[in-house]
Amino acid sequence: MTLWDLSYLDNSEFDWLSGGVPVLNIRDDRELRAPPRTVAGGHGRKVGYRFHLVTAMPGSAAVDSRWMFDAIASDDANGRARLVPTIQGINSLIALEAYSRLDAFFDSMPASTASRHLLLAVARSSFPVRIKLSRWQPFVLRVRDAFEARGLDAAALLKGLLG
Amino acid sequence: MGRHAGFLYRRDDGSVRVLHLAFHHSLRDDQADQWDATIRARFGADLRWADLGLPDDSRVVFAAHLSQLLLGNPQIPYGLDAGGTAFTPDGRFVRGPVGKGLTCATFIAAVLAGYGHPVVMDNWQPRPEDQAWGEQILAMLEGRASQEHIDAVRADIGASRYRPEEVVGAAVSPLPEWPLSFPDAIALAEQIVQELA
Repeated sequence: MTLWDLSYLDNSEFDWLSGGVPVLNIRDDRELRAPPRTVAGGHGRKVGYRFHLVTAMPGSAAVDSRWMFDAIASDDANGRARLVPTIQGINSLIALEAYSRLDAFFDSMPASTASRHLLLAVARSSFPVRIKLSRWQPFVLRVRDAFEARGLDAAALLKGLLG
Repeated sequence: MGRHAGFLYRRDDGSVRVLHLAFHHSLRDDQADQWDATIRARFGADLRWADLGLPDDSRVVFAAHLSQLLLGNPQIPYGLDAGGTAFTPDGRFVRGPVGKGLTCATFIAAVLAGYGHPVVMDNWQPRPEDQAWGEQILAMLEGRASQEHIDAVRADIGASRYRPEEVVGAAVSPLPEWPLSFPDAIALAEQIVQELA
């Protein structure tokens, strides 16, 4: 076993943490009234929305759900930059006990195209409350299948989550 | 006092940080080079690191998770027995009964376990030297923790101790070997201690 000191530290040795710390904000409601616009790109799929969904949660302030759309529209090229907002978004919904919202998000995540890092982050972040999420296991099973189809080591990446 | 351990990770601003439980109610996210300089000056030791045994993609995600742990400003008690405590991925520390808490080593184990990656088993055996170490911790808690907490920690002296080098050895071993058993972790810890010598 080799232990390195800091003099061996370089960009290649570490995983970068991408994405700044987002600030939850409520967009001007004029945007809410604007019709949604989609931007087609990539392989013909819709990759973005120009309005921000504000979700009113029972007993709480409205929260910005923009991260959900970013996650759904993600791919491996842009996923790392969206990790922190996604994890924070998941954590917020867990704190609000918005389990039906999380379940809906799971069903919306395209496991075949979304960023592998975001898929993994979503699965891991929601792991502790999985018994409250009826769509968690189906989601993770889809992620497993998608990882295998992509040639990734699904067993290693999802170790501890299934069975 | 011995060895100390934490998570070394890089943020998106390029800074390299050390996330570690320094002591009672003292979860710190230090700039790695500054912390390295500090411990060199104070203890004549330096910071050494090895890759966590997770796949590359998992480490990317885990680094993002680590950055969130401090947001809730968790007040983690230092304790010889972690019974009843847990760390959830949304940054919440679940306290156990009074006196229960984490060490730098069990902090690492708890964070990894909370993220679905248990790295050590719960079959650690008490060792004679754990008694003396517990007495030292108790002395250090004086003036830094409530009397209620100190009295409860005193009752845990002699509890099985997860040593930093044991948890680190487990955490840097390949993922298929997780969670490591007590004898396997001891063997890896001996290698680490030799490396640090």
